[in-house]
Amino acid sequence: MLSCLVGAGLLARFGTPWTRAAAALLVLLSFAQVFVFRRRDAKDFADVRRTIRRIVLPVDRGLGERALRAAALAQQVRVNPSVGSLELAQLHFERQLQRVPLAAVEQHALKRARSLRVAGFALVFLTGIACARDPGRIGEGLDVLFARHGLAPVNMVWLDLGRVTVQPPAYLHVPDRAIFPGLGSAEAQGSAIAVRGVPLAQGRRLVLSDGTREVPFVDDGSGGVVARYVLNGNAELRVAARFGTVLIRESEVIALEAVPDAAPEVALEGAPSRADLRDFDRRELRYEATDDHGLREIDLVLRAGGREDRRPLTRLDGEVKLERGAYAIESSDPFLRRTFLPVEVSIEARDDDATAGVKWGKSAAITLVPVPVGEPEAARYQALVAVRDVLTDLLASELTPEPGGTDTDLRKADARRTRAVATQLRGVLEQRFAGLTLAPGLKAFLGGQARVLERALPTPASAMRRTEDVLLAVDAALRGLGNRDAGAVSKHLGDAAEEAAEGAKQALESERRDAGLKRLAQALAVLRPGAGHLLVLGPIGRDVGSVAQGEIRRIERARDAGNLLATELAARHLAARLRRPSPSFSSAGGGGVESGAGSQGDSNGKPSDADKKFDELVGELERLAEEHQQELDRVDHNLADAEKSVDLDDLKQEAAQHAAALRDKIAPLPQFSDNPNSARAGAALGREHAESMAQSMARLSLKDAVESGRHARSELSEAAKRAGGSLFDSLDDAALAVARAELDRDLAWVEQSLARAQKSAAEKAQAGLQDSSGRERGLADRAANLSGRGNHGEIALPQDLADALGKAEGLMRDAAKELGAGHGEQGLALQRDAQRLLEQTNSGQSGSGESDGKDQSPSPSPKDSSNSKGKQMRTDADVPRAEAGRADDFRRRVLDGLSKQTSGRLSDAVRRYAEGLLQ
Amino acid sequence: MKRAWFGFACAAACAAVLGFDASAHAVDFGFGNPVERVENAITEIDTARATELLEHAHSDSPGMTLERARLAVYLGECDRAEAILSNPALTESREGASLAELAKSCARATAAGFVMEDKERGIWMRLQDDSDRALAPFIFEVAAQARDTVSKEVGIDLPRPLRIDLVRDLFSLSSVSGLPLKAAETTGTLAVARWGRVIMLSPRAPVQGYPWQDTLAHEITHLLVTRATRDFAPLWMQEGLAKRFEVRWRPPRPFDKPDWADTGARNAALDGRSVGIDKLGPSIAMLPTPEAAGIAFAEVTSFMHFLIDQNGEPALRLLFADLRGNGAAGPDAALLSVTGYGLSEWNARWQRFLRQPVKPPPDQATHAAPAPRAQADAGRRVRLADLLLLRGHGRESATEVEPLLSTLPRVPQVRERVAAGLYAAGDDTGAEHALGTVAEIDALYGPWFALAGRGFKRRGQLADAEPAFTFGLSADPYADEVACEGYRRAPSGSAGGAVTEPPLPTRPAWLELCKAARIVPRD
Repeated sequence: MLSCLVGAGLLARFGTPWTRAAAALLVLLSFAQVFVFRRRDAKDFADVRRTIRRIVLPVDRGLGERALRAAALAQQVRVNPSVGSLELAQLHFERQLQRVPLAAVEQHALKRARSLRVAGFALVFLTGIACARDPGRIGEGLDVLFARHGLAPVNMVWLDLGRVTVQPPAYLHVPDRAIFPGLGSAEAQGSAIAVRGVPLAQGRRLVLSDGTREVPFVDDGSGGVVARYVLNGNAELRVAARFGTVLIRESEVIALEAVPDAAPEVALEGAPSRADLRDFDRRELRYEATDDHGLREIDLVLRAGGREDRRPLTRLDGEVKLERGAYAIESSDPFLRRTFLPVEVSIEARDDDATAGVKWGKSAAITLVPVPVGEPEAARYQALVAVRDVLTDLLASELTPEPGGTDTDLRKADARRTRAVATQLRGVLEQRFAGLTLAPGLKAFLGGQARVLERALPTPASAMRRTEDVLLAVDAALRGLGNRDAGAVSKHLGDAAEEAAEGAKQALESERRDAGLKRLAQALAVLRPGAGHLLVLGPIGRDVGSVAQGEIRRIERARDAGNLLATELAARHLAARLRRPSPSFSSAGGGGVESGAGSQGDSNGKPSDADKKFDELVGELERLAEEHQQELDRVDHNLADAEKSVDLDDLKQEAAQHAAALRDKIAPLPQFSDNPNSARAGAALGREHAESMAQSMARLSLKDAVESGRHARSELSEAAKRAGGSLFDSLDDAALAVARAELDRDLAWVEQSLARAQKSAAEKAQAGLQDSSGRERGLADRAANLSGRGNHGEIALPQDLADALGKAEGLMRDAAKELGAGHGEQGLALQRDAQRLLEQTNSGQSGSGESDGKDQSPSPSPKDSSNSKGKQMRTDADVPRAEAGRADDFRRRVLDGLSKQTSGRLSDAVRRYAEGLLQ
Repeated sequence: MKRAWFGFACAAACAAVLGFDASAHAVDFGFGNPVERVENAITEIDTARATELLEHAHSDSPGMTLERARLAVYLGECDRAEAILSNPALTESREGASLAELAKSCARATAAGFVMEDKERGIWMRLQDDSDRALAPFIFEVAAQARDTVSKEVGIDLPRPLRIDLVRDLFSLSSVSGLPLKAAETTGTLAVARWGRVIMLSPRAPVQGYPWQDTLAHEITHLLVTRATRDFAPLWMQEGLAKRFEVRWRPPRPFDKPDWADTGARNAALDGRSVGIDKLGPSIAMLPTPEAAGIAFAEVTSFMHFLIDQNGEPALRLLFADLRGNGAAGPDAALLSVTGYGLSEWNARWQRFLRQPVKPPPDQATHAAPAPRAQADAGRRVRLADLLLLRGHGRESATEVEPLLSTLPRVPQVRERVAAGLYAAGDDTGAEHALGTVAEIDALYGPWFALAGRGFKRRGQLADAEPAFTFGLSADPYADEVACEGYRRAPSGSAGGAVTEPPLPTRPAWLELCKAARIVPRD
């Protein structure tokens, strides 16, 4: 039986269902045979005939059969006495038994006992061998035999556990560490758990199991084994041995808690909130992003409908766990300028989780609600319509004056009303409409009309004619503005219609239906008021706006009927139509030809061509400025060429002597000083300038020498004043005096030499300057003509531009005189002043640009300049803003700085810029 | 061969004489190619028969599927046509690709259109812009009258319902009809008869409306001719007949010029600007300029007048029948068989007719003097008058434009402005005096007729008022004065103090039209 158990154990150890079943059968058989043999013995020895068959028949078959017959007879007589005498039958049976040879029986028994003993020994021997080779195998087998659900009932020890180490994911940059298996541990998700040890028995297939997943142990090359398990979730790890489908585990558990890498948390100051883009100028987005392991990137994300703009703000090394920053978003941002849907502004940060994939953390959003499409344009248009209305009322009052008043009273009343209208017109020119102003050209045109209105005229008829002119001019400007704005607004609404179509298309997909319907509703909420604003914007706006309104009703009808395909189709048609903001019906010939003669249109000519005349005037001014610049350049080149042609070789030696003397005399002066306000510092600076002067003299660069000399004289003079003020500021007064004397001498010589050279140059340039003088006079005449047209016609320039043009004309005439007299430098200076004034008069044409009065398109965001490779100019400096009341201070400081630049090639440009800044 | 055609023509003529409308009751013996039979039924706008044929067709060949799509377009179901044509196998052919493109653009322009139907009259109309529905009763009336009158004259009937698509702008007209937008803009196309429907521009689209009633009749005539000839009528015949019949559905009106076509063609021939009836290209709407299109219309109309005058109207019916049977190569042969002369001979005879000297009709002699040229400041005064009237300065508006009455007395726009100003100022008598009579103007101008109707009504001349309002309606139905029976909306923000709202029309249809006109006020 023991052998059977051993055999069963060895068989069951294979772990397959068949071997386990066979082993179980073997064990059962081993137990069953004991009972079977015992029962057979009991039965055999309880029945005399079975006893005879078992003992006598194998020894003497004949005798056994006789004995069996005798026993049967005795049995028969006992049952039926009529068969014969019971005593005789019994006697017969006994005699047969007495004849059995006991020695033979005994001999047979001994023989059998010997065979069984041999077999027993053989089994014991085999069992002994099996046990001696690896006694644990029998126990393992029996453990496997009794396994349930793949797990053996008795745990075993497989490994002399050496060390359990944890290797966190590489992106965390955390070193490996050892843990105590029995104590449990919380580790980062994705960590590699390495279990090392020495196997207690060879030949077992050891694994590290968490109950569902197994990692095999492999040879670690130093006599032990190692298993690496990646921790993706909470786990209880055990060392186990695998036998077929059965696992025998160790009792010891390595309990590990997997700590997932959390998404970054981002806080945005002031979010969630809503802001109206109408009042929005600039906002600082202050954010704070945190992560449990480290941040990799922080982005500014702008979302509007289906559009998204993601701008990286910071790229980090993945180890920073807390990052704070700020980003200023402005209303001029291209995304905000283009948007027509509410924009969700949020900050998003991502970590570096390479294991579970990158995770983004998102802040709450600040929602920027855009100005309804077309609203600023409509407001601007209506403001001008109001001006046109008061002009119309003024004209009506002039056409039918109130009866009863004297001519003087009527004229006074009319002048009062006219001034009021001009004031109202000027007020509109300075107005802002949700960030929108009038374009400079249109502003200049209308400003000119305000001037025309204020002209004193001798008779009521001429005043009325003037009012008519101005009214028609404003009407023409209004019409042009309306048509241009209608085109721009229509195109913008086309994008909203496209968005509606995309929303409807998205809603057709059942899983994105709600999001699609939301997009559609948002786009329609933009389209409806937008079409209403379009209606206001002149004839084209009215036409396209009414088309849009009809089409929006069609889209809504389809949507309300649940026909999203029709909704999409109608929206696409509207988008295409709005992107082509042309009149509903336009014909090259002005009328239909299909039938009938068509309605006769009002082909009575254009009511006013004031805007055209103004544009012509502006165009001529531009050409004048351009030609004057060319003339100025010509004079400049002429003078430069003349200067170059002057021979200064005879001065070379003398200049070298002066330079050497100067260098010699300034050598004792200090080279530097710790105190910048000291006499030594002044002397050091003076020395530098004097060095520069000496250098220029040696190169015969007389102009530069004079300039450096003057600076040096000024600094040395300042140093002389400060000398003796402090004990710690010692200066050699004698050396300073010597240096100053030498400097004065050298400077006088250079100035004289320069004057001679200039005189010589002027003589050489004389012929060219004469020609330039004539041309300059011609340009001055043209300026006078334009000035007259800008002051006394149907059109007018605004006062400031007219003044500038008048001054420019005067300067040009002066310049012509100077040039004619051969005073090139003086003439050139006057020309430059005149040019500056001419450029100021360039207002642009009345109908210039599609984006009338819109804030200038901003440069790309500095943060968004991924291609700039760091070479882009920083533009994120804190510029004082108007609302802080510091703009004037800032402007003044800039001007102060600019005013110090009094020389150099760019000095005129700097001056013009500074004057522009002043305005 | 010629004899056979002649025999067929005689049979057709007999049928026409006996009142048997061969076109309307085409006998289909079931012979021939099934696709061709469906195609013919669709071309003849017999959509019911085409539907029946397709229902019983057991073929799913590309040709049959293409016809199914074409029928959907004829029925105005462009979205269905687009779905059918989404099969790439169909769009491989040039015809399939172009039909698919049309179906796509048409589906976009007509999806969720506002459909109205006058079942009694058999008119179906789809409005792109539902604000045009106020005009629907007037359109139904005109369409039915024009269809019935022209049908009777040419001896062909149109199946019910007659389908009309009223689109809002040229962009949509192009999308629904397939006519290139540039061509439509160049020639100023107002309506197209295509795909078995009339596709017409809303009178709201042109700034001052257009004579939509005659245009509608013109296009209905195209449909009738297409049906009668199975679309084998040459372009000169199509356009000539359409121009001939566009005014015959109604009684004559002021400024109808019966001889305009002959005059126009004659002048073009004399000036060397003639286009030529056989050089019209694929469509008059695709001629390079509106002037060329105008001359072409005059020439084809004059030619058709001449042809019918010479041969009589019954010959026209014979010509239709012959063309229908002759197929694409038939116009010349059909003319020859019906009239004994081919196209070139008729062209030569017509040109000889044009060269004959013309004596002006006696009633035009008084108007022979050319209208004086607009004086230089006419545009200026008109605009100032408009601005003043918009602000409620009626008297001043009239004062501003009144001087033009002496220089431009026959321009209705000038008279209408003076009258409108005086009406606004409460001077009704002065207004009616300034307005003058029809004899004193030389063009159809809707607002003028509306004010004239208002005057007639005020004076109790209701019999004269009604035609005046109708003439106004025919020219510019969405003009404020026209739609509201001679009254403009009160100026908004007027400086004139309290404003009294003008009376609204009492007839329901006109009241609706008045409201629709004021949805989008004109400047």
